[in-house]
Amino acid sequence: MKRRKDAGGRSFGFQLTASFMACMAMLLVFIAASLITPLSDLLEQNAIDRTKETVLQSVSTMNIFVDRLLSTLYFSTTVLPDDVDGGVDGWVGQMNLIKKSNSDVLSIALFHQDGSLLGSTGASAVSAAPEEIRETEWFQKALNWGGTVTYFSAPHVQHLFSGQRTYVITLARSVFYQKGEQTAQGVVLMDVEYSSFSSLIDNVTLGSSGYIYVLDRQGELIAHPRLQLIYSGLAEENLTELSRFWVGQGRDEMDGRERVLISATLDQTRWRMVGVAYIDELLALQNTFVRLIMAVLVCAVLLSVAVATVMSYRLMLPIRRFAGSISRVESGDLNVTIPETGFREVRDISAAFNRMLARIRALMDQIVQEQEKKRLYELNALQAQINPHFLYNTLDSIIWMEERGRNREAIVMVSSLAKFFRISISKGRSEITVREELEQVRNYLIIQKMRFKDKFTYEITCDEAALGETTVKLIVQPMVENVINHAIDETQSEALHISIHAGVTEDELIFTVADDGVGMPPEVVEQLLVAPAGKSGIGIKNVHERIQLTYGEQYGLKVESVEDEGTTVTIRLPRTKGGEAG
Amino acid sequence: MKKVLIFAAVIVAAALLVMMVGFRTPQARKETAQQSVLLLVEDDTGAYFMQLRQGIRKALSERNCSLTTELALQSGRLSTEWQGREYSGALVFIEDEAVRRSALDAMAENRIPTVTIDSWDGLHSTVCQDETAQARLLADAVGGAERVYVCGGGETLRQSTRIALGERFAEEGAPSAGENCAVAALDPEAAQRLIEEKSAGLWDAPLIAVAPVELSAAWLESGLVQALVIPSPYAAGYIAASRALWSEDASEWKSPAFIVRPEDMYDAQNVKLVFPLLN
Repeated sequence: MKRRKDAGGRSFGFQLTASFMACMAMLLVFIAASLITPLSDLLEQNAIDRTKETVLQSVSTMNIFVDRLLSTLYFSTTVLPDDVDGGVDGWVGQMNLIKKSNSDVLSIALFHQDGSLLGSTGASAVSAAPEEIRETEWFQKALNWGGTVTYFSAPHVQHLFSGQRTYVITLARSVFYQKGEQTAQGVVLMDVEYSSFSSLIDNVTLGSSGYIYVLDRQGELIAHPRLQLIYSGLAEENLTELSRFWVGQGRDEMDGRERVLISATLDQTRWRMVGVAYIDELLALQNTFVRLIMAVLVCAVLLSVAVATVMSYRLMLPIRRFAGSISRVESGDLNVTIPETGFREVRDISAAFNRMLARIRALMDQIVQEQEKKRLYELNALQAQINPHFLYNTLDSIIWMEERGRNREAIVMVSSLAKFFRISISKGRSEITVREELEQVRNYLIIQKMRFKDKFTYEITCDEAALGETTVKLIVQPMVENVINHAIDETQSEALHISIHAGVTEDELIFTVADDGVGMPPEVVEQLLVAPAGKSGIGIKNVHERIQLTYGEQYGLKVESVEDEGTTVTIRLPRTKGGEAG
Repeated sequence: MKKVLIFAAVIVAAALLVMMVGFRTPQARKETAQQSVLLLVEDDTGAYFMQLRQGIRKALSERNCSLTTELALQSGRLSTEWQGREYSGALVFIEDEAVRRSALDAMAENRIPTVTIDSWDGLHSTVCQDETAQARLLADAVGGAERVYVCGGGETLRQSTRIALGERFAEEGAPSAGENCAVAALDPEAAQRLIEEKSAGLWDAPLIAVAPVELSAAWLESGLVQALVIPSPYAAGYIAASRALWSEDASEWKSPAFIVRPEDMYDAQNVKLVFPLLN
């Protein structure tokens, strides 16, 4: 674990999580950036449009209200008596009915052109003299307009009738009637409660603190939710921007807040109704929208972090297990089995790794078995070298030579025997040089030659290139021993000739042990390499298997024999020095 | 695995928290912030009070606050009904000093920020009539009169009037015939007495009165009063509820004064002053 940390670098899981998060973040930022601006503009325009609609709706409501008043006033001019000299009580009665059915109407009165009151629904007396009435604006304008246009006053306190002080809007219209023999002109006055008018705008809110106010034709405020504060000097209304346009839309700033102004004109009165909406309130939805998008964005990023973390962990878990298993294998534990779980690819890798491990275990077992076998064969070969029978015969020969005074020969035999065993042991090495191998064979043959005298002759030859090559030890001597033990024909007087040669090809080292002895029938030759040890001499199979265990199955022994003609054993091994020996 | 799950759970919790905060609407925030204000009065009748309360209501509606009006005295004792309730502030409009003091003590005990109206104790914010402005308006209204006989009024207003009029200021007295003078009444009682004298023909000098609204219209319409300096309780109420109540320091706020003449008493700017209870 520590080694992994020391290795440094970011883990695959971290990179996976980071990449996923980066992609998500970029995607979300892109979406947010491409959405916020157009949608914000759309929302702003939508908010302004809705404000406009509200203002226009108020204008429409106000127009309906005014139309109703005009209809009422017009109706009052159509039901005048044929001759007012006959009295206007009937007309006053009808006007009282209208007043009762219409709570907005405070009073309706008929004035003659000289300013005298002919009849009214309110007080029977007026507090002003006829000449004063003739001087009033409403009277003069209504009279001058001749019944074609209705006069609208600004809101004012009506103190025309005795005992009345009411805040009203006055409508006045000229009317023609019969007075005796003459057609006379008069004025019908209708006072409408100001509160009926102002309530139409007082309750309208644009946004949370936007409002609607009304200006008369001269641009004076006649209705405003903060009218009293404005008159008291505690508030003010910015009318500068409105001077630049009559109807439509504009913007201004007041008390540090930007406002949208929407102006529309009332049909009959030509008053201007102005809607005021504060941009920050209109954009509250936009801000909410942006906040929501940001919240969703942050939330999505956080959730993607959580999902990426969990996914990365889930993805990496089998890989971590896999890495842990490899570590155990690395430390020598081959009995590991990785659970084949997780994603398909990881399962496939785990399965392949398990198969590989099984194969390694099998190979390891095979190698162990082969090594054991090799050691066994080597041991057998060594045991064969110190065959008591061979040793006894040799020592007996030495004794015999000593007894006969053939000390020189005895010394040679003892010396050869010592060399023979020294090379057999070879300090525990399993491989020796060709030179040593041939030297051992030579020593063996010297000993046997002393024993068997003229029973055989031998020659040992070697390519110069072969001398430096290495070979598993004790492979040629067993072949020679077999020749001596089995190929000598006691009935023949002619000596057996044993020819031993070590040569090389481009990539092989080849020993040849040939004799001209009795040979072997083919069925015996076939059994030589497969028969159990001991039956065909001590070590043909031993040597063959040792070579194959050491160098592979393509190497080993080849026995060729013809009865009564001789036998040739060819031993093939790989070159180890590539021809550089000499 | 456990660590990863805990980490993921924490992240998901953080995401939910962000969503909750993000989706919390401004309306919801506004609702939680709604405040209530107490108006404690000695008398809840009269045009002055009605207009004062209108001004307070207007200011509180603009701040999305509600108003609760309570009478200070119940059966001759300080009302306790309002105590124990949650108020963001209180406006005290009580003329009687002892009752006012008790009410202010109770407010302090309940830790309610308090503003007094038309009374100044130096401890609380207060909204008072601007007597300096009233005196200045009065001085303007007397025009070119060489002498102004000043009647009635409290000490402060008289002092302000003396300063505004300078050498023209004259203590109470009757104007003599042909004298280029005017008469100023600094309180309603003095105004009533002087109107009676003038209508009885005892003198004929222009009369300017400083008085509240109730009798204004009749006085102006009668032609006996040439100018009326009137306070604006509506403005006082508005200032108290819109500014003084939310002020950090105990300070004195002045409500504006206005002058109305018979010829402009029906002007739009003045009708609400002269006829305060007009709809």
